[in-house]
Amino acid sequence: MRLETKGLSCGYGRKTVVEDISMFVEGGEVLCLLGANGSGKTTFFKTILGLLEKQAGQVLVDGRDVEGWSPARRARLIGYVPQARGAVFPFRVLDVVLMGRTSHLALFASPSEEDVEKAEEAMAMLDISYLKDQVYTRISGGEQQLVLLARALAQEPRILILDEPTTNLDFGRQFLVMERVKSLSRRGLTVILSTHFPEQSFFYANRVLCFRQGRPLGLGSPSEVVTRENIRAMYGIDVRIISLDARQGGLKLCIPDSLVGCVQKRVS
Amino acid sequence: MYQESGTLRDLSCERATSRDWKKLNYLVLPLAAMFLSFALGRYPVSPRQLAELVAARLFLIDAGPWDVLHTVVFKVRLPRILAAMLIGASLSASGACYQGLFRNPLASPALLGAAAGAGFGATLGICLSLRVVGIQALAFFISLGAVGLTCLLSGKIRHDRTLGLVLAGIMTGSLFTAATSFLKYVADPYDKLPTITFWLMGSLSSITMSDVGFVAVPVFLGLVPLFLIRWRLNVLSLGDEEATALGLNVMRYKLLVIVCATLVTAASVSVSGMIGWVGLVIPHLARILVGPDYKDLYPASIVAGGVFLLLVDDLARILASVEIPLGVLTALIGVPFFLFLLLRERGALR
Repeated sequence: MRLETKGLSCGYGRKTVVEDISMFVEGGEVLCLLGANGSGKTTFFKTILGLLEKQAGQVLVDGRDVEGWSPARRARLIGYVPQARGAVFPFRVLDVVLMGRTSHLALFASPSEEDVEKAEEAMAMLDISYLKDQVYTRISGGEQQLVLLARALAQEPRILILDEPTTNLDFGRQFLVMERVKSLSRRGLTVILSTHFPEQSFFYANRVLCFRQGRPLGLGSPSEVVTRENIRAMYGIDVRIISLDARQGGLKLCIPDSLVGCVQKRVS
Repeated sequence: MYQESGTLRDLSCERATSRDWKKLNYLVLPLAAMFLSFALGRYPVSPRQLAELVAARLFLIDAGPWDVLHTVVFKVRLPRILAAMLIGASLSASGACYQGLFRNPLASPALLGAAAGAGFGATLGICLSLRVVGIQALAFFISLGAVGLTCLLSGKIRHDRTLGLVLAGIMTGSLFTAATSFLKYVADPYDKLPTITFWLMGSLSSITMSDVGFVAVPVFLGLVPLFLIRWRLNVLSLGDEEATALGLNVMRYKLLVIVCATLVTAASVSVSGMIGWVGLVIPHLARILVGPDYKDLYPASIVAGGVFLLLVDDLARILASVEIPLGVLTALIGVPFFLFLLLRERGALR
């Protein structure tokens, strides 16, 4: 399913945070959103999801404007994984994942056995079935993040929006989550995610959109957009982009110049 | 493999039956409390007399010699028992709903100003010599206005939403309490003032069967829709943005919950007067007993609230030779009880 924005501007009240973004992602693709803290990534996501009023432009799903869609209609197509934060009530993890089924339930219904199965499948896919009966407020931040991802999967969306899904995760789980997201996209899911690790875009993204203070800095393939110049413009540091040779899979890494300098000094 | 799936099924069966047993409590506990309450009081009614009386009533057998007994049980105790359960259930259920809606474990009808608003409305109704329906209507609309004012004020306090709601509720509450005091000051000191004063302290002593009817209708009108959407209160308690992203029409459900919960509160307050603490303490107790999932929490709050207020009202009747105002007793019992729950469940309030 194709998600597209045309000249989308977003913000709070009269204040514009993100201006004039045009982009699209097709089913089976991963679009990676890069930008410094406060550059408007979350605002952009919330506007696509209809949580914030857009200021200008259009959000299109398969060419149709989503304006005026009910939250349920939108939620059946677009899933959202927000950044984990504390819940007020100590829900069981399974109950949190079950809430992903909201948009599929009839007016007065509560989740059925079938919904429970779907929630359990989603948890199994992320290897977090062991959390099922634990209390959401008492598990670690990284585990909470995975639970929220499972909740979005239980929603069975066609488009998945993830706000910094790996920020709170440990080293192993960053890879686990990204691998799962990538395999979902291979099965046809449309994925947009934001991240603080430019390298992730080399590994997992088909396309990259860079934000600088709410303005689009570049949109294109990872090797076109994730450049020394753009990284300096976004994060204010100089990096060296190193390609590993083909034997190691032709991967690319971003290493800050200052670190490279240190290493060279130590070696010499 | 076969063996394993067999044990799994056994386990799930076991779980299902233990759940059914728990559900039976929803029926058994209130009935036991009712039975006990019929027997308690200054006029002694033995269990046997009670059983005979109920049987006589049910099967329309002429109950000749029990005139006094009949009056005590059906005219005095029955309406009071029903009213206590209805009102306890209402206050507790609306408290549970407010807590989920405002994502705040401290929310309650009292905290949001709903009770103070209803109190002012009912006082105004008494001053104007309105009939019960008029008093209820006035209590409902002013109570709704009070909750609206609390929401409006708390929206202005952005930096800390929990604190903002508490502060806004305190402000609204004291505004309406002040307005009620003013009404008391200008009310007729021989006729209206005593009525208002006793009513404000909270009491079920003068309740009649027709009063029960007047509460029951709005209470059911409020509690039934809330029961139907109770699972969605879980989603609402995640906050507006997440609930919307999950596909909930947040504005519509919020409005529904506020109107229903306030209707139920106002109907109760207009008959029983100010009875505090039930709406705050009982949902907490229910959360400890059945967990935070509103699918179970909501019915548990209703049952626990009904039983709790019924038992407290029994105490109000029998503790002293003069009746103790119900609002006084719920506070006396509720405060230490709440402290106990807080110490037990520190995590619940973060």
